Amino acid sequence: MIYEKLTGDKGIFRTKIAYVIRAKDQSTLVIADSDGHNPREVFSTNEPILSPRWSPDGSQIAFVSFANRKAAVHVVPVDYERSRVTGKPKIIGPYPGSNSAPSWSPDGKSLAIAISKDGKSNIFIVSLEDQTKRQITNNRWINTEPSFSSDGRNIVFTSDRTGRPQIYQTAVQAVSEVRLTYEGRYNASPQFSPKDDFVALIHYDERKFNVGTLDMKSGVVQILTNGSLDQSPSISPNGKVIVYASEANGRGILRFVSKNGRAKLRYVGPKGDDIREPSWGPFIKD
Amino acid sequence: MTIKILLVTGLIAVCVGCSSKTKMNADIEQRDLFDGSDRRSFEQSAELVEGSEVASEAELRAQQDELKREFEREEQRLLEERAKLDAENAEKQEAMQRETDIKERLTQNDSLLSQRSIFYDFDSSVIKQEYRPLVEAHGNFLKQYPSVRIRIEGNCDDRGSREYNLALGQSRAEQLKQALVRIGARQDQIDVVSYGAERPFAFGIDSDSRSKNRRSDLIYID
Repeated sequence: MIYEKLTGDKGIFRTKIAYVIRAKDQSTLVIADSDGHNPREVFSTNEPILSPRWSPDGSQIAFVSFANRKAAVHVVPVDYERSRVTGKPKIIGPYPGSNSAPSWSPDGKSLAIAISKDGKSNIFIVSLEDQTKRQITNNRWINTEPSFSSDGRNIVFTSDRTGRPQIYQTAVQAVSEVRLTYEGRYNASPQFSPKDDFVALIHYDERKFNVGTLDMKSGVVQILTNGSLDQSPSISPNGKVIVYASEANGRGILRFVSKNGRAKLRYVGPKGDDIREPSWGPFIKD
Repeated sequence: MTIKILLVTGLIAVCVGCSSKTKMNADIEQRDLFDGSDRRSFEQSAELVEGSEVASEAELRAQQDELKREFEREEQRLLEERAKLDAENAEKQEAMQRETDIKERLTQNDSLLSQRSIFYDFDSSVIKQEYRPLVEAHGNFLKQYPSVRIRIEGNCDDRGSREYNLALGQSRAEQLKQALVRIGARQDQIDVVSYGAERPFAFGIDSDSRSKNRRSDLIYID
């Protein structure tokens, strides 16, 4: 269907995306077909929801919402095939401070999260089995938005240690932080591609925010979009399409762009819904 | 109090002439003192101690002294009790006055304390020079009234990464907290939260609305 048009690839047709519909005093988590259609509202709360992330096997969604005014990471079990939740969201931890930006480890047993406390934000890996945590970054700046590589060895993340947000990479087992982006005033929201060959990100050049890719071999950043406020990129499981949040007439919409930047599509919610924070789900096993 | 003093004085009078074996009790009640049976027992006791007059006179003096001391102790205790009550009342009054002062100062419309928000440049948590007087006013107020609690809520505009903005809002709120602490507020007076870009004050997408959303709010907690 539209993905054949976009990529000539049928592979991601049966995958799902999750996103958030924001109303004035309510946020709703939605599971929809991978083109945004057939949305099913699966969870609503008066608190904002952000950063939904599918577990690698599609059986859970981690997301961030607020409890007692503090951001907390929640995990809810889902039925991927039927686009519905099968239980209530559970808070992971919570660990003292603001807990956010979850990223699943490839084995689905732990989450990398950002914990903000005492004026600094650092990345930790927390075990979903016993809730123990291990610190990855350790400095007094902002370190957030971790994303595991598909082999689980590396994490890319956003840090403002130079005074402006840029993308960094560290090994999980030994701390070895390397700066990856130098071009542009602001690079953030990194996400490893399924083959770890590129990282999707948002890039700001003093005029507008756009979605782009960072080639992990050459280090080149390629801008793929031309909106003014593009954010929250999420890569399809075959690595060929990126879904991201954008705006039209003051409302949040979803846009899709092929990895080479040539094919573009958009999804506008029914009833003028304010849509944001898309997250692409995994392949399903037949 | 007068009744108690009379009581103790009466006790001393009655006991002049009692023997060393008479059991003294400061808590003895009036009806016991003038009860006939008791008077008889005093007389019997007096007969028993005849013949050891010298010793009993010394003992009597000792008893009288003991009673006097007891009387003085009682008086002291009552004075202290009164002083304590007075102090408690004064404290209560003071606390009420303090409460009134706090309310009055926080509800004055034209004061620096009535300004509860500071605004930032894009992607910055630096407190601008123009907000120094405001920060100083709140810092001094918190220093003066250590019982007052506030919450600082950090916020961002909708541009850029939502997760980065959540951390940036935290950093804005935390830096404002540290500025207040440097002036003299206590760490435990101030709670810090961030809503990132999730709770905009203004909903427009123009630069004016956005500048209103890049802010920290000081919320006084009742």
